[in-house]
Amino acid sequence: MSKESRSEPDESELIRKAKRGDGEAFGVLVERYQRRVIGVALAVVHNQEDALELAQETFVRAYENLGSFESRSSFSTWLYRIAANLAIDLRRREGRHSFVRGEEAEGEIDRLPSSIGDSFAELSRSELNRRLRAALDELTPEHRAVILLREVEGLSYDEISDILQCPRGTVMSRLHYARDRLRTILKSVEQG
Amino acid sequence: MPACDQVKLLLGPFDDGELEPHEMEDVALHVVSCGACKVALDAYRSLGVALRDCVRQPSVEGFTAAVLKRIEQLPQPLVMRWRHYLAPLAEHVGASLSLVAAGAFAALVTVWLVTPFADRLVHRSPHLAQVASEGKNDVGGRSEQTLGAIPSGSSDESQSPMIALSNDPTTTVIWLPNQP
Repeated sequence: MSKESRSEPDESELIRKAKRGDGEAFGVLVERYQRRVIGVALAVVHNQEDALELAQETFVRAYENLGSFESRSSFSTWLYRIAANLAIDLRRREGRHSFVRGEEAEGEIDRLPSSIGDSFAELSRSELNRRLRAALDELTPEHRAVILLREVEGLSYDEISDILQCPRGTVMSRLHYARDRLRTILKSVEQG
Repeated sequence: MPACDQVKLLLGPFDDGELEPHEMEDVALHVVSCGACKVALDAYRSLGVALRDCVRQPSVEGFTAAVLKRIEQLPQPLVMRWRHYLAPLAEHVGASLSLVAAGAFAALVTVWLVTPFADRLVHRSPHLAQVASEGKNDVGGRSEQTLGAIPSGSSDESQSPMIALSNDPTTTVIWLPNQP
């Protein structure tokens, strides 16, 4: 048994306690998975406030439906699936272009770490980020989710397939399309 | 060796390490000798770096507290509310029930152990002559039923019965012959 598994409370025990209404046990689960749940939400909505709100909603829904959680899939996959579904629903409700942020995107770019001031490299990096965000917003929620879950969250194809509830082949083809689309944008920035 | 068109579709999964071992080997061999595919692979890698740089995680400070606050505000199901109040009580009741069950078990075991000895004591008592328990005497002329003689367990008493029992539905007579 590893040190980590000895010091950290057992997940199934935490889930059992949370099912009986133990908020403290559920709090430990929230601490454990919050970062990744936010990451999954962010993969679809690409807006920090929306992602945080969705992540909170994910945990609340999970708490409400803990009784129906069976251990057929892992708890984390179950959580990420809720987050992805909520995020994709939101994205569809609000329309594809509602997340194209003008001032907000500029604001986030301004918060990027700046070690070389207004040098050409920094400008091109900002430009790259801006164009990438714009390109990500042009993707469908599913394509966007697949590429960000892979590249940013580092999930495997099988995990992505589980979370988005689509076949592994679909994950591969969506990833290929999204990469090609974004690569074209990267190329144009590099050349421009 | 596969052609560029075939390899192009596999470059992403190759970079992700998601191909079968033989496919990994095929793509690796191709990329080493094909400049265009190597450029495409590098571009995929650059894209990954750019995306990780582009998407940044928000601060999670206060996140758990906010979630728990929302959960506290949820209407609690009736079962859960009752469980909250009854859980401490149930612990005490559970302990008491265990104690009572253990006591009852001990009593049963004691009765079971003592009863055969008590029975033997009664049967071997030398001065018991006759015990008759009589309820209502039925004078309606019901015939007596002789239920039988109960022989003694020991060999020297086996010739004469120790107890003769005579019974009708309302009267029970137990006769114990005088013992020397």
